[in-house]
Amino acid sequence: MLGFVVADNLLMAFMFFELVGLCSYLLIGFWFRQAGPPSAAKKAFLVTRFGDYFFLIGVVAVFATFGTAKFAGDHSFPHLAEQAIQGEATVNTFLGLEPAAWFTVVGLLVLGGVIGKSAQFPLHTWLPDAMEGPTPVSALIHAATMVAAGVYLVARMYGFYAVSPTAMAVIALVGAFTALFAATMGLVKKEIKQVLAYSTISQYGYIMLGLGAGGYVAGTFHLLTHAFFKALLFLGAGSVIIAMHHNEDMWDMGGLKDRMPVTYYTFLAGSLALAGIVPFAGFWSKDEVLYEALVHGLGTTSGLGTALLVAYGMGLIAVLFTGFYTFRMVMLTFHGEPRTETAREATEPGWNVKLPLVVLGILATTVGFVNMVPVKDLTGMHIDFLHQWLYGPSEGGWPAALGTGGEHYHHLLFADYGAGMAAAELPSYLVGLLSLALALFGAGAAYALYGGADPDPHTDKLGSIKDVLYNNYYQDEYQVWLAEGVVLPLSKAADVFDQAVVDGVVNGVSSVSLFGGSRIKRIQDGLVTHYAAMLTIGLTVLLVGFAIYGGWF
Amino acid sequence: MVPVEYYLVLSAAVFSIGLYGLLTRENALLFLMSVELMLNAANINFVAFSLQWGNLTGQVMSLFVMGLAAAEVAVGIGIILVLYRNFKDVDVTVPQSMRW
Repeated sequence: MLGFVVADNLLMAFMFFELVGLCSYLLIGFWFRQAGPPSAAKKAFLVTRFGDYFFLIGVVAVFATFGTAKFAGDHSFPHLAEQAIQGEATVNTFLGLEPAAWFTVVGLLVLGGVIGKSAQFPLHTWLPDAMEGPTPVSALIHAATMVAAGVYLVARMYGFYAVSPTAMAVIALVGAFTALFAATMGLVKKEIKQVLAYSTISQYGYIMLGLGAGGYVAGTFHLLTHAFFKALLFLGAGSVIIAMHHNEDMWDMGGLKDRMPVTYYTFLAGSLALAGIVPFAGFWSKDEVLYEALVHGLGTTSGLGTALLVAYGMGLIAVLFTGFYTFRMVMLTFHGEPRTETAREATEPGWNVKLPLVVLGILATTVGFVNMVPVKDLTGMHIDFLHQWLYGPSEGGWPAALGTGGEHYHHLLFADYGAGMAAAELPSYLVGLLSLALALFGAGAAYALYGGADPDPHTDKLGSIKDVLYNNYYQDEYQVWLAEGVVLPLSKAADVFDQAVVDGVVNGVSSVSLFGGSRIKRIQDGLVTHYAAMLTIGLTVLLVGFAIYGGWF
Repeated sequence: MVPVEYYLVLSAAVFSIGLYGLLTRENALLFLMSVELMLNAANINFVAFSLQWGNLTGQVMSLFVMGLAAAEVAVGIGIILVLYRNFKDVDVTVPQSMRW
């Protein structure tokens, strides 16, 4: 992952991207003697590989188009793309497309890898299964690496996406849909890690939404804060799972608040951050994401504006669901009466588990303060440090020198030849208040439904909807059908073609050669005079041939 | 001065005699002699054209060919000696084992 972060070109990024995938495969399959983990590891590997296939084609396309894959600087491909669209540079385009259309195609190809790696719809199915791995592994690959690699790549080549309104709309819509889709599935899950898995997918959807909506800083900010609180939540879940003797079912827990206070309070901090309650980290970043989506959606008049508004709507509903499933998880795990013997006798693990929780708990509470845009707008204080750092100083500085600064991206997004966005005037705190109210409503609903001493499984009242949600919209079944019902017959047909036609031609050529060789080899009879005679005949034939075609006669 | 055509006719005759010998003889030593004839036919050509064009390149080339012929005879005689040692004969139609 470190190699991926420091890679300065797309090809190296691709290789490290694959290595991250390989490491995830090995880590998820850590308990390889059991039945589940190896299969989950293979699934994670194959599903992300499907996306990486498009990424690979995208890398080749970038090389073929620009002759370079550098991310930053004057000779980087985002810079060349920008110049080509303005007609200042020429690049190779394919399929007879104009540069702008072709860049959209290339950007969407690379986006295939992002969707696979960052578990976006429809390639999100590997992530919940990856919960088969050890819990610290889940914390690692779902907070800081692996899934982060995908959205990081979008941010890394942001200048390339920013010139394509279509690609931006696709990123925003995929992200917002994934955020909503995963949040609905998280509502009904029984296992604590499953809820966290769907919340991861959902939060990465938000990051994609932020990036697609022109919020470069907002997206990276949410990536930053999410890393803290999601690592915290997974490690907190790990602590609970240790105390529960590896039982992950939340309906077997309850009342752990008094038995494990350190875990409870840190987990609560993480949950508040995840739900987006002020002043925890998630509030600042998620609201900035939604704010960017709304102002750009309202301001932009083209189809991109409509797409961003739809995406904003989905993101807003997902805020409600996020608040609900987060606090349903907290209530079921820590509040009420213990529902099993194990929960009654649960003891908190030692300080080697609690210390990281405390550290991450403090960070999850405070890391949002690096970029408090609503407070800045209210008070006029310049406390949006992440903004300032990514935009760089007004004179000089690395963002300007490399062409990767927020200022430059802002210019690209708003330019006619770029995404053609425009921003509406809206006070950011009002937008923040709206989503805060929704999150509080969701959390309050969860508290009302599950906060009692012995809560009922209220989601059962949803009936068949609950079954659909619990079975992940039958995504796994549908993908298995896709593999078995469509891909398998296709590959069988391809196999028949390969065996009959391709191999037939090859075998035919070889048997003709063998038969011809077995006849012609008899010329070599070991008699020197015959060789001499054949040399002479050959020379004569050559001379006669030259004479006829050379016009000697 | 003798015109160059005469030399060419002589050269062609010598070459043809050498070729005829190569195709008809069975004695390995006669093979070598025939090859010598063909090489010397080439030498005649070289020298004739050298005279015709008035430069020395052809003559130098013919010296090279002589050197080559001497080396070829050394190798050829060696092969014939081995042939004789193995087959008690220098008839080239006897050894036929090096075939498919």
